Amino acid sequence: MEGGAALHSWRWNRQFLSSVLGFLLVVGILGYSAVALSADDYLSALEAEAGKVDVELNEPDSATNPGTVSQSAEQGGQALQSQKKEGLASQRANFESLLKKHYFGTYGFYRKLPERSRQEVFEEYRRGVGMDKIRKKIVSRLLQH
Amino acid sequence: MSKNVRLVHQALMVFTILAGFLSAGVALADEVQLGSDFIPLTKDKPYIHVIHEGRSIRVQRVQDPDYELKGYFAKTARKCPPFCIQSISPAPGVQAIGEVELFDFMETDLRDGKGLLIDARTPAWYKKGTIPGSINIPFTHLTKTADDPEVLDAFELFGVKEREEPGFFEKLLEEWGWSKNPYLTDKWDFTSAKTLVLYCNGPACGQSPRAIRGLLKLGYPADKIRYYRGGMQLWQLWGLTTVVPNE
Repeated sequence: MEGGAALHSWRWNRQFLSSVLGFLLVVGILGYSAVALSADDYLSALEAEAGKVDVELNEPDSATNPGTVSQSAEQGGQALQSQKKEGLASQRANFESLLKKHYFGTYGFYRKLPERSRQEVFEEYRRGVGMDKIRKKIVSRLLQH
Repeated sequence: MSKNVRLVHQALMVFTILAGFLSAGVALADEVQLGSDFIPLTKDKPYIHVIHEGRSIRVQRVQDPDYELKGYFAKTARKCPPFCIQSISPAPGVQAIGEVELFDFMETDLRDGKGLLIDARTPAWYKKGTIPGSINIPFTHLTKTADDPEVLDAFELFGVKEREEPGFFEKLLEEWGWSKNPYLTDKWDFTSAKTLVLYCNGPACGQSPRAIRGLLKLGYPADKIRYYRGGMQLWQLWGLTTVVPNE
């Protein structure tokens, strides 16, 4: 009789323990996936936000950092191609006004260059070439012309 | 003979005076080029140069007085969570810094190779533009375990060394608390570790705070970490130079 009760109690304990373990396992898995999901959610939200930022190539009026260097103004704006073209045009205008303001003599030479050479010089400026080299290039293109 | 000496002496004096005028002229020309309406970084710092991807970049402010910040970083509201306003310090002991301190850091520790400026954002953000002199180590790399290859790579870059097994007496002294080097952990030696300045999108960005907490969890000393809370948003609000990194 006692042996039967002990067996029954042992079975009950075993069932209880396996239920508890099963419950803990489920809670653990759910908890882990919740954490993993929240990390994934954060990364997804970040990626979605990053898609809202676009790079523009506008240069501020007094830019002295040419090429891929951009200033804050370049961060804003929309990703429309037409706006990018406008941005490039304004960047070139800024480059020319920079030349005119700080290197008037060189600007005079630049004005005498054909459009192809002017574009070439501007492209160099956008690529980040220093102003000394830009000025030398203008003179060299003028001599070749 | 003495007449010749006097002549040479007079010529030298004239030369010295001319050289003085010339150098003053050059200095003046530099000042003139900057112009009186030039907007400097700080009262005594017109601009600074930093090396970015091997190229010297001049960091300065936008000179257009009518300039207004536009686009993504001009927005004042973002969904919270996840883009909630961050505390001034992401963890105890980590110093938060502003732009002026960052300029100083760029001119000292960063230039001397004793510090690193870390853009802790994911690459999708970084490639849209960053602060000159930065390197991109996404926060996801710094929130991993100590044996992760990305952590090991980052630590190598930061000048962190794996600690050698301490000797018997050294261990004993450490256990007794008589020899406590704050830059030593069981695994790492942070004695030569660089000072890190971390930033992300700005005050409502959680990426660099996460990176900082990850670094602290790995044992990186708090006094070698700085947090530029302003991030890209305030950097651009002041019209400071940004660069678009090469692919």
